[in-house]
Amino acid sequence: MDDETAVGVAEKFQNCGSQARAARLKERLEQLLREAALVEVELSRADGAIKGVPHYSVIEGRAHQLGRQLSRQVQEQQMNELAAAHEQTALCPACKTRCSATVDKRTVKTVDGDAQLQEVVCYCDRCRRSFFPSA
Amino acid sequence: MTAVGGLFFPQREALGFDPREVTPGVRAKISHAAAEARSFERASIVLKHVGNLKISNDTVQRVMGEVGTELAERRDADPKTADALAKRPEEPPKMAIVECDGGRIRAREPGHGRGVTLSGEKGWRETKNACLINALGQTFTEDPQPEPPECFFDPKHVAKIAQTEALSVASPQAAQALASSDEIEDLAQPSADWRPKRKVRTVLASMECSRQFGKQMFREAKRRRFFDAAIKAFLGDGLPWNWSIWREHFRNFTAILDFIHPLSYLYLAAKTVHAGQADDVWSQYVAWMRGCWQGEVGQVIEELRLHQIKLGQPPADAPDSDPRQIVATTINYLNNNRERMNYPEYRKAGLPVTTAWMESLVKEMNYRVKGTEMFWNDPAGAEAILQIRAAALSDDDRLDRHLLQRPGSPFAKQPKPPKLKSQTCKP
Repeated sequence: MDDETAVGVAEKFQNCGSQARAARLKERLEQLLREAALVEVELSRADGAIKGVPHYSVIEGRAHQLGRQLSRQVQEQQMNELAAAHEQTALCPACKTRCSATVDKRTVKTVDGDAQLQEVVCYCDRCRRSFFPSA
Repeated sequence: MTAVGGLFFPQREALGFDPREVTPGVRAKISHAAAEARSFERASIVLKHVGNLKISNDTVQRVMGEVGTELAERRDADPKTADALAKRPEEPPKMAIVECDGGRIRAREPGHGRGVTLSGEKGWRETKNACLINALGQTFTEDPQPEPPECFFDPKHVAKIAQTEALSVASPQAAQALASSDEIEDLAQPSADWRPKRKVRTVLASMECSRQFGKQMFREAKRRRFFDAAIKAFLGDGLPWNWSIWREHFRNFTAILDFIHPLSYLYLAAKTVHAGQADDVWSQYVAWMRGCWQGEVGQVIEELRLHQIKLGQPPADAPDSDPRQIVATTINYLNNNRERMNYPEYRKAGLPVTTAWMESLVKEMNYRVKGTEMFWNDPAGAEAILQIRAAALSDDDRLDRHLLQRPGSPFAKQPKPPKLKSQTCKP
């Protein structure tokens, strides 16, 4: 097997590994969502929001709220991961001084309501202003 | 297996589902978009980009028709029952203000579809609009604004609000002289803002005749406990049907003629009695306008009578433009309405003296129902959009309350809405 072929096979294995992992995660997510749906249905009975045959707007409204909550949590988690993965320092975009980075919280309006996101922020002593590094 | 014709869904009614495959939440979004966007096409675009929903123009129109019909049914429900659209408040309002006015809408040829319109005046249909306002006001021992506001001394402004071209040609010199007068500026400033403040407004609009519309207004007022209010007023312009409704249903409300309405009559009469003397015309208009504002309508009528004597009585076949006829019409108009022109007393009671709230509402209605490209099916389409728009403009959240509670239909086929007929009031 020449070098080129060996690289190709390795890539193929790696892709297969990623695909298998994605499939496993997808399955787990679907299972968790099904479980969340079951818990929500049980909760809506337990807290008295749904009794007998309700107007569908009650079912729809509660389900939609849960969906929005999940969406906000996903957005928050994605931002947490991005912030955690960022380097400890960043170059000031104006003077190119290396500055140390910290993580700040900010509340933003998303299409699914207010979410509290983490964001990497640096302060440049030379320019005397904050900046938000892009990478 | 059961035949398709006999299918029914026992839970649909409680769930709020019907044969249309949309949930109550989507129906609510469609209805709001149809009520606020200027066309069904625009509503469909808003739904796509804002609501993330792909809904065709035709579906928007059909849903609007269904919801409009349901709202009309609830509007006409017994006000003592929960079927009524308006919310019954725990306490009656302290100040209840009812205003009504006519409007116009363009209709298609009845029984025809898109593109079949009637030309000119034939295509216009009359609409009736009303607002019922729970207001907050204060009372005064003295008239809080004995001099008319400055705007009534501005010919252009008065022409605009009186919706007449007559005043726009008033003497500009005279107007400038008056507008710059320190005396007027000082006197025109009210000691405090005496005008009532709007708390909760609900809106009615319909293609139905004034008799039916009066009943709609009565039911809405009854449901909102307007008849139990401590202070009650009914405002309208000079249209006879306004006062027929007042006589039939709101007789114990203080009747107030919109102060703007007599202005065009007064200006035309002033122009007639001082023909060719522009400065005198404007001074005379200002004197009569101020007289009406200060509750001296009797004095204005007396002066007009003296002019009538000088000019003579109009013959039976006199045209409207005959100076004798103009003066006679003005006297007649003021005489018919003088009981509703006691403006200083209304101001002391903290009541409005113009139908500004109504005029503002008519503009909000027109935004959705009147435009160069807007033609409505007569009367079903027109009545439906009026119901949706009126509900959307009401402060009591009635559109959402209805949509999130409306019962569904247990049957596989959409029930046909009752067929509406164009209404004309029989004398």
